[in-house]
Amino acid sequence: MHICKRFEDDIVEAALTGKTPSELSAHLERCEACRKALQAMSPAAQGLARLREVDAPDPRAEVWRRLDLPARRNWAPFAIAAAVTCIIVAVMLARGYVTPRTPPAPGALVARQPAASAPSQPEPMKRAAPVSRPQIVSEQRDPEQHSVAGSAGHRRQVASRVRRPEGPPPPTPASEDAAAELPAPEVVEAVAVWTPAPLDEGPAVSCRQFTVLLTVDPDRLRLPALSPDPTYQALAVPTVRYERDAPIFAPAALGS
Amino acid sequence: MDGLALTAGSETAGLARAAARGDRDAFDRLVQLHADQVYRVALRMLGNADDAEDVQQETFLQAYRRLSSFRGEAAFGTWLYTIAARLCLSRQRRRATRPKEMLGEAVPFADPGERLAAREEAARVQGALDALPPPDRLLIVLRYIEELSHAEIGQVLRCSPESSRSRLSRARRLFRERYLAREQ
Repeated sequence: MHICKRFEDDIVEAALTGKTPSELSAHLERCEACRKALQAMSPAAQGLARLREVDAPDPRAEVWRRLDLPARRNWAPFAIAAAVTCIIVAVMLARGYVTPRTPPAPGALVARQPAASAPSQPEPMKRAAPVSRPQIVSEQRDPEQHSVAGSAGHRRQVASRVRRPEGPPPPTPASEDAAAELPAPEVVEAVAVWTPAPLDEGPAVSCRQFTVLLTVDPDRLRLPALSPDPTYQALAVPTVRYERDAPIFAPAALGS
Repeated sequence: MDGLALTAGSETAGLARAAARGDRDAFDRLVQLHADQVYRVALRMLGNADDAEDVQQETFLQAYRRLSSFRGEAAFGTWLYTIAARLCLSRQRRRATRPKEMLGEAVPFADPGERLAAREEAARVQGALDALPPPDRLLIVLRYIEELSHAEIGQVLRCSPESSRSRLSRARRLFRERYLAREQ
């Protein structure tokens, strides 16, 4: 039985609701196929009406009984949360977002804390004796040399390091005399590890138990060999870095 | 018979508000008012009285636990349809691999004097429904058994009335095919 495609939907609707639109009625008067199709579907309306009649049980007693049961400890959400946490940590480790504390490469850092003053136990950092102002050196190395193997074989880009110039400090230009008298930067061991993950804020650099937000000057720390993106995520291992003009940390804050 | 006739009433809205405040009597009354509609949807969706009863109870359990999230944007009955529909579809997915159950179980055997033809017709319609994919079956049940409007179906299925209309058009075509295929 071939019915007119245009009215196919209307015919079923009319059969199931018992309501025939005027346009369909006019069509049915002159189209026998559609008329027969409607007749063939018409009993369905009776069947649907019959299916509306149900003898529903009263669920109230059972519902209240189940609602009043003592709450059972459902461990599934906790197990799922633990599994998700493990997966996240594993992924972070694998991708190098979490850096194990490792000693910095020999010679790679500049201002090292004097061995005599290095405490055996973690303690608040102290202001060091004035030292010559360090310079920020953007090292553009061979990428192979630049990378540090992270856990699970991933590599992190060692982007920028603070380096103290070898030997006696170079003569300070007259324009920087005033700056030379600024308080000395903090004495730290620092390795800035940069990855090209953009952040909205400055990178967080952790220093022992401290985490300090830094404002990154992209001009100073830009690494053109790595990425054109001026913002990088810094992960630092026992970390701190120098800045050109000011100490990164306020000693009082570190000591608190 | 029409679920909306019950849910649209101010009594239902007031009961829902009271139940949300912790009034157990109000919730008890809501269960009494809506037990039929929830059971009917579950029975037509699942084709099995035991499963339908389970879904009916589970619907009210979930409704009670989520009363605080009921904001009254839809009628309470429509909200119950949403919960029941989700439970039915979930149960359908779980038992997708199980063999088809006997048709006709969902067609009640009423008084002995009922005409055989009417009962057979109901069984034929239920058979056509059972042969539909569950989402299409749900649309047919909500529209032609529960007699919801497209807007209400949209609220149940979380879609627009236009989307409900177009999806129902497809469901109707499928239903017609399945129904005619069961011609006796």
